[in-house]
Amino acid sequence: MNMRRLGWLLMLLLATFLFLALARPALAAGPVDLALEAPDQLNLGDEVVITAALKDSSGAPIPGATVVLWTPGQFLSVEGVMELGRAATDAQGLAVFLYQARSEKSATLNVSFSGDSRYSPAHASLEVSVAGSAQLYQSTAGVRLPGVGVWLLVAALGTAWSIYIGMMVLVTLIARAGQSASEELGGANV
Amino acid sequence: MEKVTSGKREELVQTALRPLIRTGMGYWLVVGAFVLVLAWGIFAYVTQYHNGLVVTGMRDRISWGLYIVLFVFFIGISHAGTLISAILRVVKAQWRTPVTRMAEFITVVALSVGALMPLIDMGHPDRAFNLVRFGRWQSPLVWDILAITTYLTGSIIYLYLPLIPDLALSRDRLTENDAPAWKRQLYRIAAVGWHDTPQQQKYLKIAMGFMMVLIIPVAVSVHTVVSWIFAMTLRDAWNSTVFGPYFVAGAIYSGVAALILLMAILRKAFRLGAYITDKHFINLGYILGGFTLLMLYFNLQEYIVTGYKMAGESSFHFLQMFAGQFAPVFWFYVIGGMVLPGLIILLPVTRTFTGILVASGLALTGMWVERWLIVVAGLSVPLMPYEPSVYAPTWVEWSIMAGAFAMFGLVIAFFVKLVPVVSVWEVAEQYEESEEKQAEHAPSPQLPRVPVPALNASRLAANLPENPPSSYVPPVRGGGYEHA
Repeated sequence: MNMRRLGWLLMLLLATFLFLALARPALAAGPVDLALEAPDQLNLGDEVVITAALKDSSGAPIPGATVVLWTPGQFLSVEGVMELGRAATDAQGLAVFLYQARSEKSATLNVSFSGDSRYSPAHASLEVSVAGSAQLYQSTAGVRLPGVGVWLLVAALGTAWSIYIGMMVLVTLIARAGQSASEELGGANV
Repeated sequence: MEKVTSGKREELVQTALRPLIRTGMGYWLVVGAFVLVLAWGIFAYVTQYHNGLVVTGMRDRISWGLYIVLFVFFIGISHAGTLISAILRVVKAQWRTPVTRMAEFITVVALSVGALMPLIDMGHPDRAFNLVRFGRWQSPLVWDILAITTYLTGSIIYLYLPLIPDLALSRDRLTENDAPAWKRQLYRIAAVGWHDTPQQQKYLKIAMGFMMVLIIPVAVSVHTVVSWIFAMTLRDAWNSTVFGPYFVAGAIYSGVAALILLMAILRKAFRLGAYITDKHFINLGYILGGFTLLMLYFNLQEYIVTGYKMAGESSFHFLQMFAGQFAPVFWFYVIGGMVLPGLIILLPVTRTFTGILVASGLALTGMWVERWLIVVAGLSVPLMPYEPSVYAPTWVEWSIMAGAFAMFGLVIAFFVKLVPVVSVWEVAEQYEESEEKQAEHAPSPQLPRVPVPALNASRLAANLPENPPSSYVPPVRGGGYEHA
């Protein structure tokens, strides 16, 4: 083997090495499977656990990957993506989120994995139907006194309006007494 | 003796019914002016309705302006009436009788106009329905609606009850030459067959007894709740535990001032000088003077605490009031709205009819300014570190304000042509009572003579004419007596 051939062989080996080194991620970024698990029927205010499972093409769990939970959102006239949380997958490839249903209409929950050097990006979504009309916000400010509340208001108003009704009764009695007096007088001005 | 008695009563009846029969050119000119101003106000409101609140000076940082100022102002002067009338009735103040009807007018009209203001402030009035749909019992806004509705209903009842005998009087005395058919029909229905029978008097006395007591806590609760709209909002300038009584005191203060001014106008317009004397103005002036001191005390209490601590945003508010952008109006309020009226009433030389009128005008203007300071100055304190906002009402807001005052005047003008502005039966009753007192103290041949000064003092307190007939006893209590 002459030196010229040896040079070409070395250059070929170097090029192959460089090609493998640079193209490795692309060649190795295999498809992944992202699955979302959540109850499809919730009541307003329910807090549930949502699980996203990330596996490679062979079904092996992918640990340590970041998964984002999001939903389409709208605030006044602005529409966009509302991130609800992000979590890293554990040894079983599971990312766990705590989700509270805060809107009575149905929600589209999405989980996304943006991919990395070894795995392709993946996305999964699920429709969740939310029912009920519970009042979620409870003020903690102020002092709660027994008996002081809406019933006190109702009692005060009830007293005033009962007296008003009593006034109507008295006016009716005045009219009746007037009718009797008028009959005695011969029916004038009634 | 009987002739004199009947003549005196007839004079009272004629004086009270005259405005219902005759209408001069001056009245129509005033009404025409009110209608024109109101029409302009309606045009401004239509402009706002079509273009939105952007035509006002209100923006996100100062979101309440002239309309809420007027709301608080009108609700305040509504206390003129019912509260003053009710308190005077409860304490049986003899001199109250020619005053109460006008006071009760003011209450109903001011409440009605004031209640329109939040609807105008909303932009589209249909948004008020959202308060019913989504309102929460915990909200002072909901309390306010309930309180104002209760107060307005109570005030209408309280205005109506003592009107019944006078409606019957109008029914019996006004002929087809005096009043159109619809008016006579109205009197016939509204008088509910009043014939001044003992049973009817008993029922009326019971009804008025209940209402005069009930209306006082209702009136106090209304302005207390109005104050809570501010005091329960997270704004540093409104953090005050005395807002409730402060608002109630301010309401009575402005209410008395409004009543004095209205009394002066109606006395002049309908020649009621024989019944509404200078003594009535002086007596109301004393009430005004008392509340001047109370208002000064509240202001001293409010600002001396803030100024002593100068903590947080409170110091900003203190400085903007005393030396900043609101200083001119604040000092006008303090000096013009409280100190000067107080001095005018305090000094005997200025405690005259004219002096009381000037004091009332100053007090009423001062109280309007005070409402401005509470609303606008309170909202101009920055919630975050940004430049303080400035609010300037636009022509739309000023026009609607003028329209509101015109509406107030127009409804009063309508009322005075519909029912007697003086409670005829109560004035007659007052004369009767004072004459009974006089008879009790009259010198008798069998008894030692009653000292003359005591008799004069009694007559003076009752506001009787200087030389009333010694045996004057009005034979009537109200309408319907023509048939008895």
